[in-house]
Amino acid sequence: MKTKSSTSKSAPPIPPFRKLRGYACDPSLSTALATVAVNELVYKVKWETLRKCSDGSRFSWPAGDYLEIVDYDPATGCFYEPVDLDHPHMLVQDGHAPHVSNPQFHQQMVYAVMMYTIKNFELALGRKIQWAPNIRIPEKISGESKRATVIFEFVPRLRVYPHALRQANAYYDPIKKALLFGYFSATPANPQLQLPGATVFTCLSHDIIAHETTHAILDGLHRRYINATHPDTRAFHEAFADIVALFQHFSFPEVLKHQIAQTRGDLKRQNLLGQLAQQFGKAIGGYGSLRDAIGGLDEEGNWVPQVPDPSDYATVMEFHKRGGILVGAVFDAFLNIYQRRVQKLMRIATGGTGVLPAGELHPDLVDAMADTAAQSASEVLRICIRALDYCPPLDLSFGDYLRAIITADFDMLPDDSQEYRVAFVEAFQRRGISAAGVKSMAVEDLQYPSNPGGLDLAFENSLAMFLRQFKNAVGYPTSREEIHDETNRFVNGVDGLRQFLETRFLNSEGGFADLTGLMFPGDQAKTEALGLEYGYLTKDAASYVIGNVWLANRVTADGSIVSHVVVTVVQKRGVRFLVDGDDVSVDEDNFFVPDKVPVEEWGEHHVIFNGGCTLIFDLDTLRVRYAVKKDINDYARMIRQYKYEHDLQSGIGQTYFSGAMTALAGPFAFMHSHSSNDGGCHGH
Amino acid sequence: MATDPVTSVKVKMYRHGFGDCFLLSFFRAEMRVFTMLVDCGIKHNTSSKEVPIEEVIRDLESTLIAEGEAKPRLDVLVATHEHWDHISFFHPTRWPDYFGKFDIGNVWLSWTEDPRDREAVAINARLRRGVDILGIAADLLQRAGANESDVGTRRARQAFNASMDGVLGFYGVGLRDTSESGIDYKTNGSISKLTEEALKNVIHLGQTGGGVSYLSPGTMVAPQMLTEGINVYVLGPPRNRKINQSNPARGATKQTYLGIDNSGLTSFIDRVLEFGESDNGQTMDDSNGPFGEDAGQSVEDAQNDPYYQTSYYKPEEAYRRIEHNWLDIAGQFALQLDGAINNTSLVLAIELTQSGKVLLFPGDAQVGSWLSWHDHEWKVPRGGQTETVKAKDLLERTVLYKVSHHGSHNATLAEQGLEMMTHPELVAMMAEKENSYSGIPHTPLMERLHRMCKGRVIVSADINYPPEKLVESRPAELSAREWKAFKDELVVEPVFVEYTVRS
Repeated sequence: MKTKSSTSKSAPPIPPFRKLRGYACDPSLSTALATVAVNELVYKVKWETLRKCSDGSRFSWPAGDYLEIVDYDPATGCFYEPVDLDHPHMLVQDGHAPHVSNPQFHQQMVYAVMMYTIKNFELALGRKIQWAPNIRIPEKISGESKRATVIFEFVPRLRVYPHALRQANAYYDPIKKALLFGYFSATPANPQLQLPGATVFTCLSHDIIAHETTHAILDGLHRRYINATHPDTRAFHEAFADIVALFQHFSFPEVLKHQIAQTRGDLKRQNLLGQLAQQFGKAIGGYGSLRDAIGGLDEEGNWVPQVPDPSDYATVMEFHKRGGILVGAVFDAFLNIYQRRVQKLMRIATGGTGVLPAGELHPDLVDAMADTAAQSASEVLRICIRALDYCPPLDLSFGDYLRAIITADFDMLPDDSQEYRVAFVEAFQRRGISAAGVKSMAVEDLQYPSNPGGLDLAFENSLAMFLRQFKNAVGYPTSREEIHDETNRFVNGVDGLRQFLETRFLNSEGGFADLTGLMFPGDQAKTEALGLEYGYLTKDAASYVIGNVWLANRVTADGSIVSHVVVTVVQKRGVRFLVDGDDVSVDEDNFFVPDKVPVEEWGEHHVIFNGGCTLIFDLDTLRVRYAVKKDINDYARMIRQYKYEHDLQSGIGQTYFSGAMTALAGPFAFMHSHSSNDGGCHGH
Repeated sequence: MATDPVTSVKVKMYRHGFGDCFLLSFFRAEMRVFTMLVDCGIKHNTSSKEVPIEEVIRDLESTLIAEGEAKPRLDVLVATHEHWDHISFFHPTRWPDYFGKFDIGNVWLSWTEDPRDREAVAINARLRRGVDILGIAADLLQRAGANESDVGTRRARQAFNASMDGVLGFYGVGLRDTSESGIDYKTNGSISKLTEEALKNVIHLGQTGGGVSYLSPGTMVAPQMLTEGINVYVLGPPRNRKINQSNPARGATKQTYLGIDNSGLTSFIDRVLEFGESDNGQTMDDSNGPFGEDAGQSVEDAQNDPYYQTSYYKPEEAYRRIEHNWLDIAGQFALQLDGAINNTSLVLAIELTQSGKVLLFPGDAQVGSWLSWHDHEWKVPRGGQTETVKAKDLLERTVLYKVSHHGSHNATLAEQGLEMMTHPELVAMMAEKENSYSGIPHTPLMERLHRMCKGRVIVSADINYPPEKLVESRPAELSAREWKAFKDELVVEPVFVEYTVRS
């Protein structure tokens, strides 16, 4: 086979983009006159080489660097033909035209939106994303006293099944590392909104695809966020996935302009941009979109704007609804930022009055407003994504996330001239979201203290010095697998980070425990008495895990270059409790090592408790810039986790199916069945 | 023949495990003048060592046999709804025909069991079809259990299947049972359900006794079927025309009444039924696919396709296959079905006319049923005048609440229900056993019940809530005087707990 052609002199350059047609929202907007013109657009996704087909029957399979689309419909017992995106006919006309009954277009739509979402993450993070590893726990080898080493397998491609389910749902399966989309027959409340009985495909909804892709990306970044240890953890996953889907709406210029013109620039009014899953919402019997960040329908079916209630955070617990609080806060912050900026334009356009005349807006004004909205939205989305590097590795609360947003934004833009940070704080406060352990909700108090100290300065410098090698190791490779392997070598290899930490810090007076909130109590007996494992992945110290090691190389708004390395470390303990009615206390003489004690012996009142820390090193100053920690010895947090898990078991979840249903259908479903069934009527 | 009204009711709750069995004895002074049994069942595949059912039956017989009579006499037998934990011991052949030796007056059932009621027939047809679907799906899933290559998923799948089994157990079609009794879902079409047989026997008991009455909401039980001094109001199950729609259209005000909400499930259900009809449950039939016939490759072809050999069928990546995930929605379906059948519960409010006190027996009624009670008004003759009674009045006068659905989270309504039960003497009785289902009893409900009843919550068989404790130590919310009054009316025995309501 001749593959030289692409490198020969006369060959055209590799294209930067692959253009693919798709829906901006979903097929429902194409059946309404008002929106048909703006609903179909061309997604520009990064060009990549797809898996080539050698037998000449086609050009390529829909499998690239990040994704692998397998269009298997097990209920029907059918594999739909894979789309051939490299076929010349596809290349010259930007892929298939949007079509509900063409499965190849479905694959193309999923591919386009997923790649688009991935691109947004990589832009914000300044590095390539990775999927969560496949964790294999080998069967225990008999006779061996040591426990088997857990294997983390690199997962190069997320598996995507566009027609996996026959139900009104879609989910990310964290075990299969796959997205499963469903299709279903519509049962609308009003036939004008949606044809009854028509098949609705979740894989044709931009919002649903972006939402589920975000779950997968977030799981790859922080795999412990899957653990529901706090009312906010699951809710955060949902909220974050919605936030990404929402802000992507603003990157579609046609839709944006259309909606700006329609709302006359006031995005606080009902508009498509602030709504998620139009068709889905109508098809399952509602009157509008499934979720709306700025308002909702009242009992008569009229749209009313959302009024934030400061008691929401304390009272709303169902995690999709609770996630809605965070989505509302972030969207509110965005709208205020946008409004401040757009006011200038309004004044210019109205000769200083700021009062728009009746009738349609001037197209130039619409353009300018749309630009402002697009820019504000992309900045807010970038802040939201980047903040993930500043979040603790586990047990995340909305307050922690707010602090991460403030801190991340400070690093990018030390001078907050647009007052973004104040906008965020205000929006969070309006919903009663506060941060634990801060003096006030002032921006400077919310920002994590820089150079937290704890380490002996010489140690600190030597550690940061050591991490400079990491920048060299992963700064240049471009393949994600290579980055993964290099990172792994840097952490676990001979003379790697793990060994470096053990010889220099653990069990020593270097202050590593103080800095990270982990515990290294000394010998094996002492360590195990505290419920910590000893000697697993360490030689002579309490065990701990190095979770992520990331390079964050970013250009800030003022043009300087930031070189940070983010390292997360985590420990695990088994904690038992003394419970007497409502009175719960930690049973201090009864900690256990979860990996050494069989599950049956964990006891009725226990939790598997994690502590950990996200360390952000500045390679220029050779200092620890931030340490965001969740103390492994925090009794109050242990008790709170126990109460939360216990409450979950006692029935907030489903009555009979308890955990099994969520374990199978994935905690990351687009819609959760019980929240829809109860019809909002709960007994107590 | 005007006589003195009823002066007291003894309510006996049996402690044989997870299941309802309540005996009500109405007294005129010291004379037992009227008796009523509400349900007699137990969770599928369970039994109690401490209180075997034989002891319950023995106690019923000895309580109900009158001097000089050959048979124990039961004036009314009530079967609230068709769930195994309420009617299992009426089954004629699973165990000795326990109730065959009773002299039974009237049998009371809800209108949803009336074979002459077209609405009821339609509902039942749908519910039975639902059970069929569930049975087939559970069977397909059961086979899937062993095929999961990931340990965690396999465990979750097993737990899920066990839960499915649990829900199916309400109909007596537990899967473990299936293979033993040789019931085949696929070939005979009509599944023999144990609950159906038990209910048939209840009807038979009525027909050979004093007759069967099917009761409708908004009515009152005819006085000739009662004794002087009590009124019986029928609150549920609701009648609602919408229930015959095959796919209920639901708008902003979603409320599931007796319909199963199929929204989004039709294609799933159709496919499951196709599996049920085909002989081996394996035949491929893509006529029902979303893109019509010939839309793609068959499984056999795909297994030989280079793309799928290096992706879907790659052995090392078997953990990513999705053969059975589409069936998992059966879990949601099972919950809906379960709720729908709970809502067919006959709901009775029994009023002692002398004092106006009410005993509320809602079966397992869930939210939808509770809401519908408030749609009715009853015209009651009282002292030569006609009084209008509403559900709110009955709830306010309730002094004994049989907690619906064993204390689950969705079967006691808050504002329109429990919060209206403001009578100072309110006592709750709950038939339930520890560790039977996760989330039962629902802790927040338990807490609220304790507050409303000032601690007078009597649970049948849960070691975490022993009724003995109510006699031994005073609940904090109860005054010493109230506690004494309560204790005087409470008898705690190993086989039963009995509480007396005085008019």
